[in-house]
Amino acid sequence: MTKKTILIVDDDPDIVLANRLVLESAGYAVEEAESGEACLAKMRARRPDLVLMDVMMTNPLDGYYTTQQISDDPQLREIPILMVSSITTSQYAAVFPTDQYLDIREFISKPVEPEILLGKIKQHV
Amino acid sequence: METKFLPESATRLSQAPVDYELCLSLDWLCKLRWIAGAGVIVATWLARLALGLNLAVVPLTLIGAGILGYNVLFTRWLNHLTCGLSGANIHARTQSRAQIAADWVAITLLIHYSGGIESPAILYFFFHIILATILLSGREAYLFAGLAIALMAGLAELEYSGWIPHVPIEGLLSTRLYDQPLYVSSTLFFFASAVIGSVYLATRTTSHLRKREDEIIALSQDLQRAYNRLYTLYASAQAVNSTLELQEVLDRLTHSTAEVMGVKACTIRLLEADGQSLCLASTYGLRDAYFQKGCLLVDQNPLVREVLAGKVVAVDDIATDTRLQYPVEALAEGIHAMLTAPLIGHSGPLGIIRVYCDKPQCFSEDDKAYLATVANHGSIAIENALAYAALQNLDEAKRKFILTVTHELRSPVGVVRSLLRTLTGGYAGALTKVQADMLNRALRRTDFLQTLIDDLLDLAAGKAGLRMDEPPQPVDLVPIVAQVVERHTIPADEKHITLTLETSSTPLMTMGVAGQFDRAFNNLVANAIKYTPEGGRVTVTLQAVEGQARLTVSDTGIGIPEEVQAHLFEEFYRAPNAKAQVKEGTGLGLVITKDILTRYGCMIRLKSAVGKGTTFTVTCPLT
Repeated sequence: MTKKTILIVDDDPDIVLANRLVLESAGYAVEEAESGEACLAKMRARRPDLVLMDVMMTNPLDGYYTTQQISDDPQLREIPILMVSSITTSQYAAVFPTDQYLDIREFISKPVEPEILLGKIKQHV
Repeated sequence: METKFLPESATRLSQAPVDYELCLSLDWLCKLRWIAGAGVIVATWLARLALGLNLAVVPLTLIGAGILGYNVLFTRWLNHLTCGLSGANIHARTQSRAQIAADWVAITLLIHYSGGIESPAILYFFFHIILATILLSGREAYLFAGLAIALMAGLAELEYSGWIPHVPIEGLLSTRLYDQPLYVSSTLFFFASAVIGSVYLATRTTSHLRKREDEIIALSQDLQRAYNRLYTLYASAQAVNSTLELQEVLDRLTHSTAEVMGVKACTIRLLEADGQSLCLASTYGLRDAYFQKGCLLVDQNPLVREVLAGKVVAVDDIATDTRLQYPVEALAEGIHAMLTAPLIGHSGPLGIIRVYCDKPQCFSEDDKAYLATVANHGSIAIENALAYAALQNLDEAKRKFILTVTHELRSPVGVVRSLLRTLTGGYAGALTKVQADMLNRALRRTDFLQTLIDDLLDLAAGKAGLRMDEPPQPVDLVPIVAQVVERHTIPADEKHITLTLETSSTPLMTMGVAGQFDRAFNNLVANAIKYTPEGGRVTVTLQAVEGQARLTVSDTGIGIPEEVQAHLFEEFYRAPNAKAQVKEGTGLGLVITKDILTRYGCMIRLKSAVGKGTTFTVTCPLT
């Protein structure tokens, strides 16, 4: 059985490193993207089994717009997205659209507990 | 919004009481005349029938009927008159003259038909002499007295010379007197001198009284004016102090001052930060064009310097005063006089308030004093508004600072925590015992930092109302409290603490947000367990008491020293004995709890004794 691939989309290399260690130790293959654009390119090049998306990257709502683009793309639509964010407690909370517009499987608040992360991923992959 | 600063009574003109009295006495005069008319008829017939005197019954009866007849007319005329209405007084004066003149004629006829100069009715003239001096002016009283003397003298002369017949009351006098020159002339002399003497005495007294009355009227009008000013001062002070918005304070001040002082306009200029320019802050009654001339410059304006030094300065005629910076513009605007008072705060001059008049020489000493008073209370209101604005800015800056700082802190701390958790979780390979221990210590510290930042963020967002809370809605506190207690059963068991809950069996509805109440109550229960030693007891009750939902969280914990209880709801404060017992704690939990509770109209208080325990009581209004 081939390893399931998780695409981590985050502009913070430390977060990527932490998540990569957790996921790899659990037997997943990990891909990285540091922006929404890179994420879309990677997804099209090699289809991941799940996307772990940070909402706020250098551009505050990059993750949100990227998710929207993924939802609009029939090729990528089916790939589950876990959204990681501290946005619900941030100053952008007011402008953040509710998830009814997006096909987001789950919201995970930062900081992410490794056990919780693995648990959630297991449900969707 | 158009506010009226003048009370109703200010517009009512005080009326001279003398005129009002005159108007009322006419009614009374008419009533008396009914008796007089009837009296003439009755007396005539009584004298004829009872005393057997032979007198001119028919003419005298006609005179009596005549008096009653014209009294009907006067009474009707009087009914059209409402005393106290403007214009009524002039009518009243005319009517009183007409009434006295008609009575003069009637008395003269009465005298003629009752013996002329011999008639005892001569004395009746004196009624009206007194009446005239009371009701009419001194000059008119003398005029009527002269008329009475002329009528009497004319009558005597006509009878004496035989131009008109002498009609005596036969049987009253045994001798004829009307044709005896000495008697006639001496009677006329005494009559005339008595009439003039009485008018003199009566007018002297009444004029004295009238003068006093005029003084009283003037005084009461002054009092009325003073009252109006005081009232409006009070009203404007109230209006000015009822807001803390600077612009509103200024606008109310200019509006009310212009209206109360009855002047063309009022402006307030505030001193800029440079201390040099006085720029327009509020205006009432002047055209915008007038202010295009710009700010007043202190060093170019001797008048302003004088005012800022603390004086109320009047410019009585702008055309001739040299102290102004823009006299031409003022005259073009139709301003001829102005009065300026300083607005002085605790730390120095704030600006000036100025009233404008459209004619020269328009301000009295009273006006100066009044404007100074307005300026005084205005200064306080302006200073309050400025302080309030500064405070608001400070609060906002503080809140923004906390929000930014905590948000910036949150993210790296989160990352550190994630990295540590990855290590301690063994995801990056196995750790030695010492390594694991040290990393766990680091993780505990990071956890604490995380909590602190989260709490701070909550507090900053909550206080500013920034948190995108759901709007308050009716929530049942019973399940919320039950859930909070349920959550703490495991930690309580671990410490062998007996945690009990007594709740109302019926729902207790209050306005709020369930999640927020959960957070607030959670802090209280968590604290109780945290600060209660092993084997202790924590009791939570929720009941309806006196129309309110009352939650109590009692513990048998370490207690809170009385001297620090007041600080308990201050940010970052932790009681010394709490610090000794549990090292980690942000000192924000209770602040957040109180913040949430007060937002939904609840109150929190505590009762505590060191070593015995603490009870927090929360009361919320029931819907």
